[in-house]
Amino acid sequence: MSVSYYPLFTQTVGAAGASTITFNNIPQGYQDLKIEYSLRSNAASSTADGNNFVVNGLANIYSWTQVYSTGAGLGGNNLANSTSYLGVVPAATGTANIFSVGTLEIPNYTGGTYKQGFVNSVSENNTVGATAHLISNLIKTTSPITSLSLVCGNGSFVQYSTVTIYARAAQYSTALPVSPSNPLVVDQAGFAAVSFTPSSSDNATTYAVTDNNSVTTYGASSPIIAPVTLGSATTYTVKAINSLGSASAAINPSVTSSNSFASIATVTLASAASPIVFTNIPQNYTHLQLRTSLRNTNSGATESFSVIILNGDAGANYSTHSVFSNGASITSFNAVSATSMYGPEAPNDGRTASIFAGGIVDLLDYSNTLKYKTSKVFTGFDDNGFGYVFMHSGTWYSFAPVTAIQINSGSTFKAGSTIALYGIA
Amino acid sequence: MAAQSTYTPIATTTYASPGVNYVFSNIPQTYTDLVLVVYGRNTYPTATNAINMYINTTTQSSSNWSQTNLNGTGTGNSASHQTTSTPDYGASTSLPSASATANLFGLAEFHIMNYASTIMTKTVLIRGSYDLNGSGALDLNVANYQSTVAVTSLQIGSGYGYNYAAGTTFTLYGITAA
Repeated sequence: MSVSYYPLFTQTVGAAGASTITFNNIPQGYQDLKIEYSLRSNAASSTADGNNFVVNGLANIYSWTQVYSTGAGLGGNNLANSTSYLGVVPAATGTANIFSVGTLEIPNYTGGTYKQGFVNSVSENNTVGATAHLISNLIKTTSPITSLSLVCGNGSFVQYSTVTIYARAAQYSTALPVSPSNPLVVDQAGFAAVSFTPSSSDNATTYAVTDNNSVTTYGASSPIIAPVTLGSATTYTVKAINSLGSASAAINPSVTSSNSFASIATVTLASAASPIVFTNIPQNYTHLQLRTSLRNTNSGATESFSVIILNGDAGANYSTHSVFSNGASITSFNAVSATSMYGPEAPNDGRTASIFAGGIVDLLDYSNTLKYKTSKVFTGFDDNGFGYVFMHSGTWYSFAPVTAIQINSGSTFKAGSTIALYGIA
Repeated sequence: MAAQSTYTPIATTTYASPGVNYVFSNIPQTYTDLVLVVYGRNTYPTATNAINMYINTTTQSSSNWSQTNLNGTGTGNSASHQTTSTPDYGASTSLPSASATANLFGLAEFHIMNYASTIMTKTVLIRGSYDLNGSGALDLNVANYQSTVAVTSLQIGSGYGYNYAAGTTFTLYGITAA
C-alpha cells in the first residue's frame, strides 16, 4: 500500500525538559514538510505563549498573522519582522497531562522563494478560555530549509512533549525504487562526499547514505555529504528511497579520515563592499575559524575593527569585551546588550598603502544547541610606529546553531580584502 | 560550498642537538596562509631569549620590519612598538632559554597572512607563551614586513644569534582557502 507521508524524524523530550527541539540535516528530496507537535511547558502559569519555530538557525526573519478563538470570542492579530508563532501550549498550573496538538506545514520547503508556514493548533483545557489558532507565518529566506527548531516561548517543554517531521512527496510512488550504482566516497576533512549513479527511472523521491554507525544522511542527488568519524574506518550504504521502500547499493570501500581542518568558503572582494556574509554553513564540524586580511575604504589615517553578527540576528543579544595595545598603552573596553560582537581589525585607507590587518576568529561549538556561542578574535596590524593588536571575546546569547556569519566593516572593506571560512572537525 | 582538506604540513624539523638558526626555503606558493609553529628553547645564558623570524632572507637582518606588541608577564603588562628605525627584530616573540628550568620549552606561533599576495604587505600575527613556574610571558604581537613580494623563504633567527636547544621543533603549515 502506498503512503503519502514519509516519517523523517521524531523527538520526545526526556525528564530534564528542553527549551528547544531541533532537527538538522532535513532531507531535500521531497515536496513539503509537515510537522506534528504535542507540547506542554513547565512555565508557572496555565498556558505558555510565545512558542515559535526557527529554520536554518535564522532569527527574526518571520512575520505572522493569526486568527484565534478562546471559545468566548474570536480575535486576530499580526506581527512583522519578528519571531514566528506556534500558538499557546498548556503549562504547569493548567489541567494536568494536557498537551497542545499542532501542525506546522511548510510547502515547497526546498524552493528558492520565501516560504509559508501554516499552523493550526489547539490547547484545550476544559475551560471557556481554551485557545485554538490558525496562523500564517511568512519565512523570509530563499534558502532550502535544512534545519528546524521548535522553541518554547516561556519555560521549557516538559517530558513527553513530542515532535515528528513528515515529508510529503509530490506524488504517490507506484513502484519500488531501484538501487543506485557506482558508490564512491571521497575524504573531505571531517566528512565524506559519497557519490553514486542513480538508475534510470529509479522511482526515487530521495536518496540517503547510512554509515556503519547507523547514521543516515539524506540528499536529493549525488553526492551526499555525510559525517565521518575521524581516525576510524567508515563505510557507507547508498539508498534510493520512495514511499514504498528503499533499495541499497553495494557498500563502498571504507574511508579513514584524519583531516580535521577544511576550507568551507572564501570571499575576496573585487571591489569595495560591506558586509561580507557566509550563509548555509555546514553543520558537520565542531568549530569554525575565520582568517581575515582586511582594509577599509575610509580615507582617515586611523583604523576600525569590524563587528560580527550571527544568523542575521541584529537584536541586542550579544556581549563583547576587548583588550588591546596601541604600542603605547594597554586598554580594555566592552559592550553589553550589544547588537553585535567585536570582529577583526582593518586599517583605514589613510594608512600606508598595501597594509591589510590580519585576523583569526574562532567560533567554538557553533552547532551546539545547549550552549550560547562564544567567539575569540586575535587581530591587528602594524604601520611602522602606528598599530594595534587586539584580543576580543564575544557571546551570542542564542542556542541556535550558527548557520550564517556576517562581518560588517566600520566603513566599507577595500577591494582585495579577503575572509576565508574553515571548519574544524 | 565544496570542502577540501587543508592545513597541510609543509616541512618540519626537530633538533637532535643544539642547532643554528633554521631556514624554510622554496616554500610552495599554492597556499593562502602560512603558520609557523615553534616549540622551542634557546641556549642564550639567561631565562629567556628572542625568537626572530624574517622573510625572504637567509641572514638575520632586514630593514623592512615593524611591530606592535602586547605583553603580559603575570606581574605586569606592557605595550610597545618596534619600528624600522630601531634594531631590526623581524617578527618576534620570546622563548625560554638556558637558565630557565631544564626541559621547559615555549610556544611561538607565527601566522603569515596571504603570504603569496603581491598587493599586500605581509602582516604576521604572533602568539608567544611560556610559563616558568613563577614567571612567564604571554605575547600578542602583530608585525608588518613592508614588501609586496611573495614569501618564498622564512628564516628563524634568535637573540644574539644563539643556538636553539636540542628538542626544539620548527613546523611550517600551509592553509588553503576554497
